[in-house]
Amino acid sequence: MSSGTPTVSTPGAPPPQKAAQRLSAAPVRALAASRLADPRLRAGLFAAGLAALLVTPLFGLNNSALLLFSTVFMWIGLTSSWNIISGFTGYVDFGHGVFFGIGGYTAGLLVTHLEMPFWYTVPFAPVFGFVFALVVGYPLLRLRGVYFSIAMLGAFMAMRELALVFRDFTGGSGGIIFEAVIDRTLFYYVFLGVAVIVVLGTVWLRRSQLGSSMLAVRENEIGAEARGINTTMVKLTAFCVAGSITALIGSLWAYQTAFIDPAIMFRDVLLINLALMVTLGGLGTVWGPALGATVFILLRETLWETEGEDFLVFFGVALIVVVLTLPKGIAGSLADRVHLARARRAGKEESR
Amino acid sequence: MGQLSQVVLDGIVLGGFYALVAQGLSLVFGVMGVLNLAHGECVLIGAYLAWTAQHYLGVDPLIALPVIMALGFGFGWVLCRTLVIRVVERPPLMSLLLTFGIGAVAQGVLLKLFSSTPRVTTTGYSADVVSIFGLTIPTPRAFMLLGAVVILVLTWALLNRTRVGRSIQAAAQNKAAARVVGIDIAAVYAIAFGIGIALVFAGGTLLGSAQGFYPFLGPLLTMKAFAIVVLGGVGRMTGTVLAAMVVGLIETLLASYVPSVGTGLGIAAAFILVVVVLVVRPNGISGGKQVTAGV
Repeated sequence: MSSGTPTVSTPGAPPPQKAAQRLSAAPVRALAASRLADPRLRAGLFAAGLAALLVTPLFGLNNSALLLFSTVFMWIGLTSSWNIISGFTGYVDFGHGVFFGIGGYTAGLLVTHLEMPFWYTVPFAPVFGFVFALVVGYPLLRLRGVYFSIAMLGAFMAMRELALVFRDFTGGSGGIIFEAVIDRTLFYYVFLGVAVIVVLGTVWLRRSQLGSSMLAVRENEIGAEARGINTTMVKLTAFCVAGSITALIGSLWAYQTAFIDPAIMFRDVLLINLALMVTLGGLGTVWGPALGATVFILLRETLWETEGEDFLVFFGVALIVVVLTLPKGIAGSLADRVHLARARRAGKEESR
Repeated sequence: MGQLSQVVLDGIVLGGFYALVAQGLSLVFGVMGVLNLAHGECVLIGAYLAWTAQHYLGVDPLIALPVIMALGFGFGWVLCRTLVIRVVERPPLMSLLLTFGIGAVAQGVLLKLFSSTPRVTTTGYSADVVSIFGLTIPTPRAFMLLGAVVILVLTWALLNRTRVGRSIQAAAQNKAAARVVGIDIAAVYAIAFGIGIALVFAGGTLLGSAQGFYPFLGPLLTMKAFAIVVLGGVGRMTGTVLAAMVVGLIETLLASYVPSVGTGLGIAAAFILVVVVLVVRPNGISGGKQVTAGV
């Protein structure tokens, strides 16, 4: 029979009650300092922002403003889906534009060869993107690091070449012309819908078991395998999801633009932009890609009217500067600051 | 004989050029673990330098070659010391993005300076041909093969028979051990990167008088070089040369025997080959471990 644990009170130690107060005070203050950490507040902000975006077109935006908004939404969709494979699993896809092109060509070929109305072709684009991701991903996702990245760049260039070469089927460099639909409000809502679904999907994914498995693959693939995660399955899922979303966006963009050819559907700039936006926002973070896309597009629209070779030089330099100065992106650096501030505050509490 | 042997000869000539370009990529990748996505643009910088020398100064590309290679070494050395060194031991995405950015800048600058019109370095022997055993090669292409062979042999000697070359190999094999025996790794990186760029500048110089080139050719060359490096196994010079020959042959065979579309299928064929080889033999055609830099 023990007489319970004796309460050992050394003379120098503070009374237990005070210590408990101190312990509970630290997290409360940290939370107050970074209010954004409150999930309810975040959800509220998100809902308010979404509501504002939903009603915005009702106030008579002109067409160029609508186009600007839908471009931002499109890029949020593209960057967030790219982030699933490149940021979460760490398999950086350097040829992701291939899915954009596949989406556009799926729509274009179905419309021209089978004379389907465009909206009927929409479900096919993600399906073809999915199938392509499956076929190419199965062998290529076994490659580590840069091998995968460059093999995907190869896939991208190969598909562009094929689209150019098989003229009779794809129209070659002459391209495919859609019946033009000039309804900017329609595309505003379409791309807004896509962006919201992809971003919310990413939020969900990051909290799910599957998302954790993706991060485990990124951090230590062999370790993840040893813990019983089916890494092939996880990687393929991430790749197929990212690929089908991008293909869907590609088909919608093709329809909005009303004309496609290999040079615009499989354009290199898309790859640079994706990499730059996501790196700017924060690779592998949930909100970073959306943030990077928004900041980037708005900066580009307001500050620069660049095309052609100036554009290449400008983006190349921007990419180099971002890599050297902001390797974790805006979201990553902010998160670091918050953590640092919290740690400092906790440290002060401790030493007081 | 006849047409097939002519096509095979053309493939070998092209393969020689590819071997030179791919060896530059392989050396940098093997030693630093950095895959240079600006590689093809560097080939073009070499080609435009030779074109400028010929066009404005009247210097033959073969005479300008050593100077251009020296410039290439300097350019690579500076690039490595200023930019590339900052991403060497960081996640691979960083070096990919950085070199991608460098490539975009180079392409933009080349477009500004030389426009997108294809150029050829015209020399006194541009229209001449060399004939061997009833087969013919245009003289500039013969020089391209000859130049590639000579430079590759010299590179092999440099990597295997000199102190600098052995330091480079040591750094490729085991960085920690190389540091322990007193090798300045940062200096070795800069030298290896310089040699790699010197090789591609040479490749560009030789290519420039053999066929037309334009600023958008860069990414295609990078892709082919990468395909060859993967096929041959990183850092294996014999593997690289062998794979370069295979890619060169496939390209000329496709161009000659697949009607109308064959000439446009270079990348697609190389890519499909890479995927097949990666599935069958993850360490490249010649197999083995991917450790050494030059041999």
